[in-house]
Amino acid sequence: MKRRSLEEREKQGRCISSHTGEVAMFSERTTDSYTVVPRLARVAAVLIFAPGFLLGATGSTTQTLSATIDAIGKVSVPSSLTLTSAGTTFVAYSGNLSVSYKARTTTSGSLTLKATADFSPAGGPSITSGQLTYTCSAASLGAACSGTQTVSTASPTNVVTLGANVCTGGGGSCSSTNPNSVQSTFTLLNNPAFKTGTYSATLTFTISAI
Amino acid sequence: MKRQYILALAAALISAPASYGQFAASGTTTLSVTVSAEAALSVTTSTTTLAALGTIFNPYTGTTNLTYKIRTTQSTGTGNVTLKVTSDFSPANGPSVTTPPTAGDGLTYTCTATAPATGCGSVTTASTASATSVATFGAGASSANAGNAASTIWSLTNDPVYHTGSYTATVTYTISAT
Repeated sequence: MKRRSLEEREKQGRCISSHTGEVAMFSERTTDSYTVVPRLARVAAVLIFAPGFLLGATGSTTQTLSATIDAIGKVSVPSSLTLTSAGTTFVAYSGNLSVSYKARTTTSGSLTLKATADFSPAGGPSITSGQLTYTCSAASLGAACSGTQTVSTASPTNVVTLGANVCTGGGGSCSSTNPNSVQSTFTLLNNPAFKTGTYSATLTFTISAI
Repeated sequence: MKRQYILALAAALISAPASYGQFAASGTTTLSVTVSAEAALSVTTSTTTLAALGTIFNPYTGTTNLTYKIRTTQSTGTGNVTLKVTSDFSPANGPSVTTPPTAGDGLTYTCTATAPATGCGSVTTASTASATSVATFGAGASSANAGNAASTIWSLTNDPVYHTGSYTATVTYTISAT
């Protein structure tokens, strides 16, 4: 009787049964009756565990996020550079290297280079003998080294000096470019005493930021 | 097709770091240079005046100095310094390299050269037609970085048939190395 009345009301558009296919979530239909107890238990469970917004309630909370931003620097260099001598004979060999770097400093920082392997095989140019020099230019962050520097196998030499509170990228108080770059032009003595052949050396660039 | 795409992508990912480097606290680059055979010279006596000294009709003599720099290839290289008269004496009626007024007249020279050069061994007659040797170099030869010295000692016939006056010729020196 009750069921028939409900169906009639649904046909009239005055009511929709919770047991239609779209909304039957919390109860099960048996042949001629409803399992009321499990349905109530599930509704209660939903009320307990549902987020507040599903229940129409509002709330707010605060959480403190903290991050420690440390000074840091990173550098990237092309894997190789070939020095060439063009034009007049016995003109020095030269080549230009673009070094990329990113930095954030608190007090200072520096980009340096050191020859970690001298030219080999023997009979050719020698870094130890002071035959490889370089100049720096166009540093987009910090100050490029000034004058002619002599590459050393014993100690690092300056490429870029970074001041306090400098940072890469983003503009404003930081640089507009990301990454930053500096040009290093290397010059190698072309001594007739060098035996003909191909020689290689390794340079290591190191960046530090504090 | 898909497999080829994956292999190409993998290759690109593997090769990319080597080509462009990675950002890190430090980075290394390999510096390479190919040293080849080279040679250069500088004639330090820009104008050599030939003069006759002593007994009359003695030949006119003078010395041209030059500095050379050279590097020849190990084992197989060679090098040499040559000269050629690129402009004969002028004006006319004086000495001539190309057409001497008297048979036996000529411009000759001897050489000196410091090691590693070997100077020309005997009196050589200069020519406008072809280059003649001043010095030669063997394999693996290298000069000092500042250069080494060589010279040409000239002798020009003093033929009475020459009209009086001043005559000028141009000599060009060439150095080569392999």
